[in-house]
Amino acid sequence: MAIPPVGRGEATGDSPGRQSVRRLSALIDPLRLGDVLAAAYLLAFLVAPLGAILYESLGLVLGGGVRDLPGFFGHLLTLTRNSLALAVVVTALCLAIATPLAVLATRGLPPRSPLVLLLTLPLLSPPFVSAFATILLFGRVGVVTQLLARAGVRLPDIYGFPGLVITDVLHLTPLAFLTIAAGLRTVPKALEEAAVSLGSSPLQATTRVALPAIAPYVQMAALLVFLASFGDVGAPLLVGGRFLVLPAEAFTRFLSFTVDRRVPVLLSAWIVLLSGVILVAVRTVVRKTEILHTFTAEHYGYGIRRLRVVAMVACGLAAGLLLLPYAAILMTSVATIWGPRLLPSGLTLDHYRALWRSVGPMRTSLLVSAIATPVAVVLAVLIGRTMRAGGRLAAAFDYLTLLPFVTSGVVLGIGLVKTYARAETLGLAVPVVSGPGLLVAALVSRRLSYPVRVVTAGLARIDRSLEECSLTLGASPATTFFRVTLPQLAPAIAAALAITFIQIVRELGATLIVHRPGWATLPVQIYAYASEGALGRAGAVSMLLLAMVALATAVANLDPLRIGSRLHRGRA
Amino acid sequence: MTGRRGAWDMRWVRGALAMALLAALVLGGPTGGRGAPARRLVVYSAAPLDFAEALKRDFEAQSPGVTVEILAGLGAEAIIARLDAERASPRADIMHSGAVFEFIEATKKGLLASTRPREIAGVFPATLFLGGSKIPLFDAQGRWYVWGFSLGVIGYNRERLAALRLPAPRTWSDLANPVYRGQIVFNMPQLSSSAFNTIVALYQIMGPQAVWTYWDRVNDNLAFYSRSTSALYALVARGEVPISFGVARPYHEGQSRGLPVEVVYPTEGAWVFATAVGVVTGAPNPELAKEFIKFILSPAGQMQAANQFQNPIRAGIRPVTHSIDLSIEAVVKNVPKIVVVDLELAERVRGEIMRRFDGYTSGRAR
Repeated sequence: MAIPPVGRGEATGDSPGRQSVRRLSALIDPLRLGDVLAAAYLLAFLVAPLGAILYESLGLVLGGGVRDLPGFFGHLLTLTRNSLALAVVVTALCLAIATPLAVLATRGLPPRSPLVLLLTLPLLSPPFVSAFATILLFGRVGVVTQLLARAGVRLPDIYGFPGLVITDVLHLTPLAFLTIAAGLRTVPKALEEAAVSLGSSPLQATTRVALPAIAPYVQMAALLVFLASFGDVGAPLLVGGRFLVLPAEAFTRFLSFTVDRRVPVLLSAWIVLLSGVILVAVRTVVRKTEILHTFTAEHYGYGIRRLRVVAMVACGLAAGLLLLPYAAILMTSVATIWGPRLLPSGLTLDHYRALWRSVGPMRTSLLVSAIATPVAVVLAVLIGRTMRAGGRLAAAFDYLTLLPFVTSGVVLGIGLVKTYARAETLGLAVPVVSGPGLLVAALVSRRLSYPVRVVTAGLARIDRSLEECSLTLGASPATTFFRVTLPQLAPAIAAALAITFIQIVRELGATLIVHRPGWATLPVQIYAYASEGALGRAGAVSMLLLAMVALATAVANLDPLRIGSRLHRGRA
Repeated sequence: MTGRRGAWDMRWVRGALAMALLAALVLGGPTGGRGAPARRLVVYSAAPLDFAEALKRDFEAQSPGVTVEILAGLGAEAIIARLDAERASPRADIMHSGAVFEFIEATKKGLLASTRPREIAGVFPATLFLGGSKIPLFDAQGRWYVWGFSLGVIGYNRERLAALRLPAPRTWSDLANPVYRGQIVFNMPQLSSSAFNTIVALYQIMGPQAVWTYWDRVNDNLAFYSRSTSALYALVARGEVPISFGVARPYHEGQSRGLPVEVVYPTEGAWVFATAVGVVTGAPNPELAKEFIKFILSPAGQMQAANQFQNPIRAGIRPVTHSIDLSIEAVVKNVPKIVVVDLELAERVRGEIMRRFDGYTSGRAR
């Protein structure tokens, strides 16, 4: 039950003067200021750049017409069908693998098991290189292909639908695993305990009690995997073969001036439209299945030794499979020459010795991530708070923050450069956008979806009754937010910081277009080396980036409470 | 307990924010963030990173007080898109590397400034005679200058071909032989300028009718059309698909690293892929930009080109970092026939090529 805030309701009987003062004070209310700030940011760095592209595009399409593009709409239909088929199959496979794994991991393994950490590692994989890893492993002369051929098993050609499915499943299963495992940890212990005490088997308790209770998390996992697969550009460029999908087609044609300029425009507009339809559908489903319990629960451990063994074996096997691309990247980074033979002809550390060339990009990556990450998380808190409150602004924030998830980074980057180059000529440039600030803004806009989703999930778990108590006792909404809500949100903010850092430090598409000379990041360097075919160097820089991200993840996984206790004991 | 954890977590969050601020202060900015040097040249380059870095190093060494800032890692198409986006407030002085065709496109968009060819490339003739063909070295308004070229060739992985017991192709016609079914990879001419130039060259060599009959057969032999220009060479080097055709530079670079790749100059003619440089319209430092182009065309700059597996346009230039002779003299000696792509023809048949390849690459009717 919502209780109106004390002292802030419509003051019946107040004089017009007092009402004006109240309206003025409401205007400078920190929470409203936060709304304005978040809305202004999204307008400036998301709506304006994408709007600039769409506006220009619309003129192009209206000016040239579309009747003289024979076969285009048939082609568009094929692309759409292919993209949807790929995303659906990848989503189904990821859920099919991740759901039992998450059940086994949360019910059979300790929460901080190294196996759980290993299962999440593929999420950190640098873009572009992971698709090369698929070729090195499962290609015509891939390591796995050759080994299986020796055993008499012949793998089909990966170039096309199979290669895309393999790459996406290896890369995205951890995303589904993490989301579903997080959900399973919220299922109250009592629910499963009751089911077991009433005679249900562990399998029945899991499938009939735990999994239905976490349906929103499974749906969220499906959404994340679906959108990530649907919006992926790197894998289709390398292993797509003749199987064409929408985002890769839009990306490559956007940069190519030899094609009709209307084609990438129509493709981009269609992707945005399609994504909008998907988001509306998903939002409707998610709203119907809102998370009802808001308490943190100790999850149920079945205490069956056999389950622990099964969990360890299954998670170990899955981790081994999901980490295969890493092994391939590592092998490339120490290989002299890796031709069609099973293994490289020799090993070398030369690619690592050349890492001094990466000092500048590493410094840039750290610097821009260190600035962009907290900015993104602060915005996410502001946006998350508004989304929790509901209303039109909340709906707008919801769609806008999911938009960069499905829009090409290159398109966003070009939009930003266009918008702010024009602003500079009008004398509107400020240091924030005229210098490397534009890179920070691009990174924040591109990856804002992640902290917003994490913070929103965190806010959904906060018991509203505490806030209502605070409001009843006379605290203003701002005070309530800062002193009651925010401290409870801290774990979600800490998680958002870690996840956002990982996403920002790996970003490529927008960075490629927006970064200024001398400000190349590690992903840009990896992309440049991989583009030149210098896979050894790309592999070594990838390992450096992985080490950085793994370090950030390890730091984020430290339990501050435990460290605090140890420090306290040390002092005593 | 929850409250205590919350307090710790808040400290943790504050700590993270403080760390971020500290990182920003301690690390400072890269070169761009620390006060502008006396003279600064910004180059957007589509050349490989090593080449771009070598050019920066050498030009800074010969021009005291000058700092070159290179934006590398982008293809020429992405550079044009970026220059176009920055048109209102140009940041770059130089557009470096990319096909002449792409420089002509940038010129049409008004992105390249006019200069005086006599001042910049005075020692060079307007065209270079090679293998009975003429390669234009700059345009009349001095908006672009050719600084090197590579030849359009067939490349193959000899180990993989040997394992498949297939002969090495020697001519463009060989690629239509059914024995190579599924063993050839090619870029999409809609997305790759080298692929587009290849088709125009074949159009010149075979004629407007025969070229499509020929391509129908080559299309049947293709494993797939690669959407990533550079992946093509990596795929051949690894042996994933043993044969491709494109510019010779990446194959030569692979050979120098010991990869089992070979280059074939087809007897019907290897085509010329000339690469250029130009001053950006509204460049902040146009005079310095002209100095940079003069340096690139100088013997020292040409040596760097040869070191990076580009054929130099100056006679007598040989590389010092590898043993592959790419000099004009070596080309005359080793290449049976050279075809210079007719840019007017390219413009005329562009629509037809795009339309045909939209059909080929999407699997629709030819």
